[in-house]
Amino acid sequence: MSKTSWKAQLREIVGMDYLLDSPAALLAYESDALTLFRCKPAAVLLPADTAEVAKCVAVLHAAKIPFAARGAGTGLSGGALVAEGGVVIAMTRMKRIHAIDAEQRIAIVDPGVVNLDLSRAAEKFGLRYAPDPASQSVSTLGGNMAENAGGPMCFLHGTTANHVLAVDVVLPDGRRETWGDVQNQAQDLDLRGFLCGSEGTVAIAVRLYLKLVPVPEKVVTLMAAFHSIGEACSAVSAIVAAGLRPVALEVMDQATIQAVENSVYRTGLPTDAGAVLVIEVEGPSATVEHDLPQIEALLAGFELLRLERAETPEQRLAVWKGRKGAGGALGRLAPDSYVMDGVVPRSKLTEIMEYVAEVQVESGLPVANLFHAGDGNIHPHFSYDGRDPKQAAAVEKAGAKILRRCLKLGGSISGEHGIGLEKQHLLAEQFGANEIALMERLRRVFNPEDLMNPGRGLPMGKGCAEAFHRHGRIQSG
Amino acid sequence: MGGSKVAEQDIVHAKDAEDAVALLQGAHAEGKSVMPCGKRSRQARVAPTARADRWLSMADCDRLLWLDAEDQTCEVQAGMSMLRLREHLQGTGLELALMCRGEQSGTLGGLFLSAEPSLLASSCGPSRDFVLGGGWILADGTPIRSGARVVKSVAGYDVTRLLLGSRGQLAINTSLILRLRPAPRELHYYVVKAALWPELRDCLPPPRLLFPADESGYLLLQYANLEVKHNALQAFDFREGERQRCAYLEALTTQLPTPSPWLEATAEACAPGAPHFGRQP
Ligand SMILES: Cc1cc2nc3c(=O)[nH]c(=O)nc-3n(C[C@H](O)[C@H](O)[C@H](O)COP(=O)(O)OP(=O)(O)OC[C@H]3O[C@@H](n4cnc5c(N)ncnc54)[C@H](O)[C@@H]3O)c2cc1C
Repeated sequence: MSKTSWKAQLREIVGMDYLLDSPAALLAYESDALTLFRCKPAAVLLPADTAEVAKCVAVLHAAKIPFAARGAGTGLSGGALVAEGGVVIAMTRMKRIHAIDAEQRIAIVDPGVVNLDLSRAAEKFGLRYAPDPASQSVSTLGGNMAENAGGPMCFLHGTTANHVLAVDVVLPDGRRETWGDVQNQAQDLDLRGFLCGSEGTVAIAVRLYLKLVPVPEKVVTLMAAFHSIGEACSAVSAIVAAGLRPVALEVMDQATIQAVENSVYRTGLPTDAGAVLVIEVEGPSATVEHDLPQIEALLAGFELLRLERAETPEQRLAVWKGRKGAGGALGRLAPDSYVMDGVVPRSKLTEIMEYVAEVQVESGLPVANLFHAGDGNIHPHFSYDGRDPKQAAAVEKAGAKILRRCLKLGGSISGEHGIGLEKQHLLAEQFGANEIALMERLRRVFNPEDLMNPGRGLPMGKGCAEAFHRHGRIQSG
Repeated sequence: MGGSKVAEQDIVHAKDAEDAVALLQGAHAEGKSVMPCGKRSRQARVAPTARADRWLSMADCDRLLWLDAEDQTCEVQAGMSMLRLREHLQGTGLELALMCRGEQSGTLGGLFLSAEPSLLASSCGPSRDFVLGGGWILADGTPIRSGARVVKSVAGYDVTRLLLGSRGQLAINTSLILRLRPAPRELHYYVVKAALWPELRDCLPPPRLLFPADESGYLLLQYANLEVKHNALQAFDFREGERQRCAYLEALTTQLPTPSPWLEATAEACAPGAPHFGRQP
């Protein structure tokens, strides 16, 4: 099939306006939020519904053109870009909330619905969608599912996979199926679970059936300021070990606090603190009133600079404005950012933070830490200038060192951002050859020709690093 | 022992994961089909048509491999029972928040591999959400690890999710990394007229557990760490509540999981060209 004929067919399906191929229009799709990797696609499709997605995929499959689904492009591992000659299928026009069943506490949504829009829509039923990535005002529910996104509230509520009941999918050859069951009844293979976090390499989600949770009766947010990040981490470990179950335990270090306070997200965080710990407790009033004094008593064992209780929605919002805006505030510090993502057992937080500080000194680059401490999920944030190959190389080297230490401490190289293009070489250090080979064979069951998001998620050996331009021309590996 | 009639000599018991690999390879060498199992207490319900020349049981592998109470995770061998795990967790203030039929008699490997529904699913999450990873043996004898020992990991495909619930058709489970949570400090039972529940549901805190009390038209509610006061609720005797809970649990009928059309292809991907294993004719 000639190049023009597949494009013409796709145009026919989505309509003239919804196939983009002008260089200017494609520019926005050449990377995701990890700007380290870039590649301009041959075209971008903006289908309106499931039928259009299925038809487009069938055409691409017949023409053997690689393609990748894309949500809002906020991914931090290079998942939503496609190698040269490929096509991006952007889900951003598919943003209908089809139904909210308040009785069953289920929402049926398009994949392009923005995370926060669902919680806003569910609010009038006294419900909300629990997974809350810091990108929730932009990132899509389809992208969240594909990355198994987490967020501050996931300490209590679990990550996206715990909230996806079923998914309507389009397979890499254009066929449609439903995986999972809204009643949460078992099927002998949990394809729904396998799909979550598969980084768009198994199937495209075209409709999601999501679990909603009741808006809690009472919510209180504590903001504890510590002299050092080590103490904040010790407090987290102590709270977890005491069996207390706040909904969120989030840490921001001094560099983050200062970036927030120098930005539009300013919220009055103590700039003299070594770190702040945001603790949110929610539930029935009786539970909150029982847990809160226990947490406060535990915190009293530390030498705190400040402890504030935010009870009104306005006070709580002010605390969260700082935490949720921190990524954006840090992004202003340098032309490029590298937000790392690793996990350690919660009891090893202090140890890993000490190591991050060591690596920072070695790399000579500024690092800030803001992370989901309750899950042991760290996010060292490097600010650098990608135009300087030395800085870019230093960032990559530092990142790999920290992730290797996470593995050494019994952790994982990714808690929520996925492997994408970024961490393929490290996956083989977390798993052995047998495990990687099994994953590769399983991918081929669903995506036999590797047309759907090729070169992503698993160490593909050849081609992947070369196929994408590395910003700053860093050597791979 | 439940399940279809199987002669004792057709069941071989693995001492550990390495032994299971050797037994599997031995069976293959003799051209025998193999079906992994625990104590076979669920087999009649979840795999009634299963047939095999040899049953490879993991029931004797019942050690706690490690427990990180601070991180609230542990790893157990597949033959561990819920009862024994509770004994190990005594004094840690932690629990595996599951309540499944047959939990007293069967192994945890069998429980998770048969995707046994948990009565606590609506308050604590479905049983599969408590498994962070584990050890497995594929049909060709290859040992693999899945997942991680931390509470959050998205490194590579979630192979654990695919294998849980597969009723031994894809791999033998040798160990499970489990996510634990703080055990309730106290439990309280209440009764409420079933007809009132739809209206009450939204004004009461969500119960940990809810089930019909006998045939009386009443519901039994179990709350953790919470005394609930409401005109329509009546406090209920704790011991009687526990008795009714156990009776309800054992009387539960489990729906047989729908077989996936992807099973054959997935099994072939797990162990290409391996002899017949774990599949039900
Ligand atoms: C400031 C900032 C803060 C962030 N905070 C968090 C956080 O707290 N927690 C967290 O987990 N992540 C966080 N992220 C990362 C990112 O927002 C998440 O990974 C998010 O889930 C990506 O959603 P998206 O819609 O942008 O997907 P994209 O980036 O567009 O795509 C991500 C992946 O999903 C695939 N995909 C997209 N849509 C579909 C679909 N319909 N079907 C199949 N595959 C699909 C793509 O192919 C790609 O592989 C943050 C990012 C930024 C920039």
